[in-house]
Amino acid sequence: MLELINVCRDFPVPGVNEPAHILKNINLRVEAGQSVSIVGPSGSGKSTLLNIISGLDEPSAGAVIVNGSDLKQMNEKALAKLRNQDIGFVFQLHHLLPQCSVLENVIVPTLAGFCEESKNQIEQRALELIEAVGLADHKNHRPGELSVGQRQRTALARALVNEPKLLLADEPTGALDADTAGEISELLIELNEKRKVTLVVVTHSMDLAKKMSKVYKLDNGSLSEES
Amino acid sequence: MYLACLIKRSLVFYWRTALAVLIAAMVGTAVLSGALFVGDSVRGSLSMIVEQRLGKTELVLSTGSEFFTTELAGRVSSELNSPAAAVIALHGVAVNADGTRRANNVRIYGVDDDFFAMGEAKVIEDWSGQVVLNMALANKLLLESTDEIVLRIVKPGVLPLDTALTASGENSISFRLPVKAIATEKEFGRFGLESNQQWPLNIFVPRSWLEEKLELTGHANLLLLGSGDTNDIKTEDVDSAVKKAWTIADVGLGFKANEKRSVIELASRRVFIDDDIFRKAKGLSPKATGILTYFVNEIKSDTDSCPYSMVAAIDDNVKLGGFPASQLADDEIIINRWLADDIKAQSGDVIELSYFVLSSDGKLDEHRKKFTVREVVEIEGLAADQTLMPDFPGLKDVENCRQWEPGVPVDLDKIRDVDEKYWEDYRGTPKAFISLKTGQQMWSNRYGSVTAVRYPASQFGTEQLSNSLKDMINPRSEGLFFSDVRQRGLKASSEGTDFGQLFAGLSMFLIGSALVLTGLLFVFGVQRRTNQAGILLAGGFNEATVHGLFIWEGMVLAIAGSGLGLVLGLAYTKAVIRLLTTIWADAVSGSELGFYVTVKSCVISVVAGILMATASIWYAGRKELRKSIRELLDGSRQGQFDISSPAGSGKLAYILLVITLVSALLLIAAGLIDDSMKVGAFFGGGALLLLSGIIVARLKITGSQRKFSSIASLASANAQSRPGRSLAVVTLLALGVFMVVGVGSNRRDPLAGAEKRGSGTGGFILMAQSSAVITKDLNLEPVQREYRFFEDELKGVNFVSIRVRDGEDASCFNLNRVQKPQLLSVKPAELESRGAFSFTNIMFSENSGWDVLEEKLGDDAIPAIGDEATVIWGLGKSPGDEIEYVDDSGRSFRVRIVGVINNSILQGNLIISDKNFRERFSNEQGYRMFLIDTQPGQGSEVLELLTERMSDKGFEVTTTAEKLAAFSSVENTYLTVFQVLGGFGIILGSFGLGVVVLRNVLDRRGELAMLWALGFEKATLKRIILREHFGLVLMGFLIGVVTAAVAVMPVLISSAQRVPFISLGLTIIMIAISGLFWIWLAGSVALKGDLLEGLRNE
Repeated sequence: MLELINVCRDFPVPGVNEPAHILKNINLRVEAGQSVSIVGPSGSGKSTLLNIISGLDEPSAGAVIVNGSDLKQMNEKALAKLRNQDIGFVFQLHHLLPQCSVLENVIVPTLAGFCEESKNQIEQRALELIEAVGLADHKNHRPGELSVGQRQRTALARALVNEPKLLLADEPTGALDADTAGEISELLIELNEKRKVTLVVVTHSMDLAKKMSKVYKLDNGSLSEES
Repeated sequence: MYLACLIKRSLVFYWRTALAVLIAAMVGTAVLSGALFVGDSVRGSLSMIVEQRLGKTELVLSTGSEFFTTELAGRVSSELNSPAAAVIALHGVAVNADGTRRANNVRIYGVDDDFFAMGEAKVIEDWSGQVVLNMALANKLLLESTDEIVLRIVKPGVLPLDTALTASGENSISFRLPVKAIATEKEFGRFGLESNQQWPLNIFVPRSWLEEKLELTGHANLLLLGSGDTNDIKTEDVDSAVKKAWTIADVGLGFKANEKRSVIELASRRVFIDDDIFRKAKGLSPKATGILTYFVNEIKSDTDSCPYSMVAAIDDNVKLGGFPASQLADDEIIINRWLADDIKAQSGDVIELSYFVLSSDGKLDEHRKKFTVREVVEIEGLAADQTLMPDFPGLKDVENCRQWEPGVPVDLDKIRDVDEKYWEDYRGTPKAFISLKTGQQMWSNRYGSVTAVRYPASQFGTEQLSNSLKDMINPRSEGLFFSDVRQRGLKASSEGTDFGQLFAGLSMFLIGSALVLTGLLFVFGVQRRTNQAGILLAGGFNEATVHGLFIWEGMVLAIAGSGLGLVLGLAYTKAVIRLLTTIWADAVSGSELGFYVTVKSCVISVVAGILMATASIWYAGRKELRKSIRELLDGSRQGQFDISSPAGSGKLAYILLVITLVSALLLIAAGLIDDSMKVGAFFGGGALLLLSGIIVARLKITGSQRKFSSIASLASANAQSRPGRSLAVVTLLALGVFMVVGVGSNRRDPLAGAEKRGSGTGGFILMAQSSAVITKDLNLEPVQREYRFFEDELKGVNFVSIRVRDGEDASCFNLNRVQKPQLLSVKPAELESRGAFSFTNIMFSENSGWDVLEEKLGDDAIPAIGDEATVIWGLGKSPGDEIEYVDDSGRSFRVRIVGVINNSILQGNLIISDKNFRERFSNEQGYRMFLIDTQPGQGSEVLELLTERMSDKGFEVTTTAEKLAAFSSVENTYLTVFQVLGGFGIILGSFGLGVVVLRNVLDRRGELAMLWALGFEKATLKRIILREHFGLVLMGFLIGVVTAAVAVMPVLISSAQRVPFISLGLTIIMIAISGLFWIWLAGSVALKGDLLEGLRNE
C-alpha cells in the first residue's frame, strides 16, 4: 500500500550553507489494512514525513510509492486526485468549516471534482459515517456548537467520506484530554479493523502508538521499528 | 511602562497595520480639506475679482441712457471729500482691422485720469483718438498694442429711441483707431459693475474725445465714488451730498432766455419734458405755459395738401389770433397765412392732419385728425417763433428739407420748392396751432407731453427758476442716486456657489470610502491582537482602560493621518484647481482661480478628519473589543464560530423591508405625478430603495443555504460565514453603483427634444442679442427693408422681441450669488400662444402659464418668471420670494417670482411683462434680445443672414440648441466631477473590497490548506474565493443598478432626457473590473506560497 524508499528531506537554514537534514534515508513499507504509528520527539520530522507520504511535500531524495504509484511521477492534478480519493487526512486541529454543519463538513471532500457518485449516494454515505462516529444526533450542528472531541469525530468522518485506502492522522489526539483521546484512539482502531483502511498515525502519545500493529520511532532523522 | 509608552510600542511593532490606517485616515482628511480649500479658493478668487473690478470704487451712480454733467462728479467729490470719476459707459461692437474677428456687446468707457486713479492704475497719457483694450477683448480679437481696431459705438440718442421722432439714421458711429495699450487687471482693465467672475470685454477711450464724438460735451452717465483715505462713505451722507450738488442740468433740463419773445423757456435735452417735471414747472408760476410741438406728415384741405410741417399745441393762457388758446375747441386749429395760402384754406374750412405715433409693439402707426380752421394768422409774434420747434434730432441743424431725418419715413419727392423756401425763411416755425390739451391727446408719449414750458421774462430770472425747480425735484426720482456696488459685489462673492460644500458633496463617496477603509483596516489590526486585550483584561486591567488603549492607538493614527491629510489636501486642492481651470473649466465658467486657504477650513477639516476617522475606528473596533475575556484570549478564530444572527432579527428585517419598499414606491410615484417633487423623489425614494435592497441582501446573506452539493454552495456558505463583512462589500458597491447610475442618468442631453415648444429652447431655433437697441418690429417688411433685407429673405422667420434691463447674470456661468439679475420683458401672449417652454411651478392656479405675468399683485410688486437654474441655484430663491429693484424714477419696487420654467435658454434672467417693464424702465428703449422662429431646416441660413445684415447693430445670433448646450455643459461638468471623484471613491472602495477579501482569505488560510490537503486543487480554491466574492459584487451591482434605475424614472420621464447608456455601461463595467481585479489579486496573494504553513500555523 505504501512504500518509502531512501526518502530524505532537507531544509535550508538561513545563514548556513549546509541544510538541515530532517529526514535521512527513510525506508518504510506498510501493507494494505495494516496500522502503523510513528512516534518521536517534537521537531523530529514526523509531520514532515506525513506530508511527504500524502504528496503535500516533496522529498529531497528518494521515492514515495502509494498504492503502486510513484508520487514523483504525478502531476498536480493527479496528486490532488490521489489525496482526494485514496488518502484520508485527520489533523491535530480539525480544520472544520465553521460556516458548515457536521453533515456539510463531511461532504466537503466530495466537492473537489473527483467524485462521480450521485449527491444522494454521497449524502447517504456521509450520514452512515456520522452515525459510525457517533454524531447522528448532531449532524446539523455547526462546529461552534460541538465539543472538541465531537469536532475531531467529524474530522474523522470527513477523512473517510471518499472511502480512502490510506488514512493519515497527524497527532489526532494531540489537542484532546485523556478520555476524549482514548475515545478517538478506539474509533481509529475500529475503523481500521472494520473498514480495512490502512492507517498511519503520527503521534507522540505512546498509548495511541501501541494500539497500532507496528510502531516506528523517528529520531534524529532516522526511522527505526520499535520492538 | 506608561500606557502612552505601550501605545507607542504597539504602533511601532504593528507599523504596517498602523501605516495602512494612517494612510486611509490621511486620504479622508485630504479629500475633505481639499474640498474646503477649493471653496476657499473660489471665494478668495471672487473676492479678489471684486477688488480688481472696482478698484477703490464704493458706490456708483448710473443713469443709463440719460446723461448728467461731468461737474456733478467734482461737486459730489467735494461734498464728501472722496474721490469721484465721471465716465461715459456705452455698448458697442469691436472688430479687428481686417474684419476677421468681431466682439459684440463690448463695453466702451470714456474715462479720464480720475478713473485710473480710482483703479489705482497708471494714468495713460497722450491717447486722444486711441483706445486701450482690456486683456479679454485683446485675446478675443487677437490684437496687440500696435494694431488698429474698428470700433462701432451705439450712440445715445438725444430723443428716446422709441418715440416716433427718433432719428432713423444710424444710431451708431464707427471709428478706426489705433490700440494704445492692453490693460490687465493691474491697469483696471477688469473694470465692471456686474458681479461676475468672467472678464468683461472693455474698451477705454479718453472721455473728452468720446464727448466730442457723441456731441455730449461735459456729460457722462456713470459716476464712480470711492471712499477717501480716511473716511467710510455712508449712504445717507451720499444722498444728502447729491441733493446739494446736483443741478437741473444733470437731468437734462435747462432754462434759457428768449429775449425776442421776452420769455424764459424750460427745455429738455431729450426734447420731451417728463409729466411730473412739467407739473412742477407749471407750479412755479401761474403764468407758466406748456408747449408741445410735433412733426406732422401732411396737412390737407379739400383741395390741396402741404407735406411735413411743424404744428404747435399751446397752453390755454397763450394768446394767438387775439384770443387765448383756452377758447380753442378740441377740433379747432389756427393756421398761418403761408399754410392757408398753400392749401387754400380759410376760417371755417376743415383740414386734416396726419402724423405718426409709435405703437407699444414698435410699429409706426399713421393717425389722422380733422380740424376746423378757427383763424388764419399772419407769421408774426408767437406765430413767427422759430424756437417753438424743439431741437428735434435730424431737423434742428439741417440746411434744407432734403437733409431731414426726422425719424419717420419721409418721402423727399413730396417736398416742393415752396417747402424749401419756407424752411429757408422760417425754419421750423409751426404752420398751425392747436390747444395743448388736444396736442397732448394726440402726441404725448411715455417720455412726456410737452416740449417746453415758458415763463414771462419780466417776472423771473433763469437762475431763480433753476433753483426753484431744483428745490421741487427729488434727484433720486430722476435717476440721480448711488448704489452700493462694492457691498453688493462682496455679498455676491461671499454668498456665491459654495464650492467647498459642492466639492465636499461631490467627494462624499470618496470620503465615505476612505472612512470605511480606515475602520476596516483598524479592525483587522485589532482582530489580530484581541488576545492581547484578553491578556490585559485577565491581568486586572479594567475594560475602559483596555478599550481606551486601542481607541487611543486609533486616535493617534487619526490625528497623525488628519495632520498629514491636511498637507496632502493642499496638493490635492492645487490639482483640483488645475483641473477646474483646464478640463473642468466649464464648472467655473472659465474663471481663473487663485489658491486660497483659510485657517477656518484647516481647522474644520483637521477636526472633522480626526472625528470621522476616530468615529470610524471606534465603530469598527467596538464589537471586537466587547467580547468576553475567554473569546478575546481564544483570538480571532473563536469569532468564526459565532455566525448565527440574533433571534428575531429576520422578522424585524422583513418589517423594515416592507416599510422602506412601500415608502420608496410611494415617493417615486409622487415624483411621477408631481413634477415639482421629482428631485425629492429621486433622493428620498432612491435612498429608501437602496436601503430595501441592502435589507434584501442581508436576508439573503444570513438566510438559509441552498443544498450543499457544489463548489457554488461552498462559496455561498463562505460568504455567509462573515455576514458583516459581506454586507459591507454589498453596501459599498451598491452605493457606488447607485451614485454612478443616478448621476449618469441625470446628465442632460441638450439636444433631446430641443425642437419641441415645451423644451428648454421654447421651440425657437435661434436667439439673438443686439448691442444696439432695435426699436422697431423686425417682423414688419418695411422694417426689414430698412435693415437691408430683400423681400422674402426673411419669409417664415418670426421674431419675439425682448426688452432688456441690464443686471447681473444669474445663470450657472456666474459663481456669485446674484443680487439683482437682469430683467427681460416679454409680451405674455406671444409665448403663451406658442406654448413655449414648460412650467414646473405656477403660483396662481387659474393661470395656465405666461399669463401669470399679467397678474396684479398690488403693493408695488410685479410678477416674474425665472427658470429653475436661475431661481433655485442662481438666486437661491423659491416661488413667492421677492427681489427689490429701483425703477428709472428712483422708486423701489419688488419683483415677485410667481412661476418657474424648466431649465432654458432664458437662464440667468427674470422675465416680467412688457407692460410692467415699460412702466418702470422708461429709459430702456427698444429691444435687445430676440427669440427667433424659422422654417424647418432654415436655421443656419437665417443665422448667417442675420449675422451679416445686422452686424452694425452688434447682432450676436446663436442657435438655441448651442445656448442650451452651453448651460448644460456646466451642470454636466459638475456631474463629471462627481463621477470622477465618485469613481476614485469606488476604486478606493474596491481596494477596501480587496482588503476584505484578503483578510477573509488569510483568516481562512488553515481552511484553505485543509481543503488543499483534502484534494482541492489551488485553481479550484481560487475559484471558490472568486465565486464567493463575485456573488457579493453581483449583489451590490444589482441592488445599485436596479434601485437607481427605478429612482431616476421620474426625472427621466419628465425631462425627456437621453440616458447615456454606453458611457454609463462602460463606467459600470470598469467598476466591475476594478472590483473583480481586487478580488482576484487578494485571492492570488492568499494562495501564493506554501499552503502547508496554513496547516502548521493552526
